[in-house]
Amino acid sequence: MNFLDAMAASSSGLSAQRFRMNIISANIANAQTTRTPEGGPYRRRDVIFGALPAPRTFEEELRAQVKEDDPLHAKVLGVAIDDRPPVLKYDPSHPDSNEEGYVAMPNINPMEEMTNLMLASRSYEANVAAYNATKNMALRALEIGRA
Amino acid sequence: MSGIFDRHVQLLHKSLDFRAKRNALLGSNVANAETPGYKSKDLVFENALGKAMNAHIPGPLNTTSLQHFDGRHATPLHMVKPEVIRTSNPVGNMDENSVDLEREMVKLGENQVVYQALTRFIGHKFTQLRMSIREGEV
Repeated sequence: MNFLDAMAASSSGLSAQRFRMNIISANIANAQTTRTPEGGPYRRRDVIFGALPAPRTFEEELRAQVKEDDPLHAKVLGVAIDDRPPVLKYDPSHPDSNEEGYVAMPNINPMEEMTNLMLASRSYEANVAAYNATKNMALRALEIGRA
Repeated sequence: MSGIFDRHVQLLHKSLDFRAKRNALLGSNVANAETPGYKSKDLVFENALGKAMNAHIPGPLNTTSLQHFDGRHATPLHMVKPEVIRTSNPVGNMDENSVDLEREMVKLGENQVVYQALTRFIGHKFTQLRMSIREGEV
């Protein structure tokens, strides 16, 4: 079904972008976090997107190869941890400061995070628009043959 | 095609199919607008369709059977397949992704409008048929 395939592709884009927004929000929320379960300050996270064919049933998998005109879904392949070193800030009163009085703070640039958040939100809107286009077409198709 | 449905119905059917397929492909371009390495795709159809529409016109060579080669390379309408092309982005993104979001959105809009026009045409066609079946009553 073409329309359902198209809607599934758009929805894959929507969930991928929403996931990205969650990660960006976590980055902003933890801009000052100095303690994490893995130890040390919070480290910036980044999502990795990949284009994958739509999930198929076992039967379809046996029958077919991916055709060139099949829509590819946007999927989150994983979350990468940014390996930028933490920023050292001089704050001797901080409980996590070292002997010299420096605290290792997460290396998060709010400007960068906000730009990414904006991009994610625009991409999300673009996917909504694409979904609506598909929906309108499907509704028009239902009108065929009606007097 | 024989019977009450003429070539136009078949043509509209083919075109609607093509538009629906193209919509799915454009939608997946939008979904992958930020996937590194993704290459945007599009479907082209009109060229092949134009050739197929003239398939009933005999070619430059005389034939005595349908199986003979008439010098014209034409696929019959029901065999026409749209062609997938890779679209390039002249500006280019740094991550090898070739999706131009604005262009994809424009294509989606255009595709949707043409689809709606086609559904209207085919609906009109069926209304006409119904009218002739009912001897002029609508």
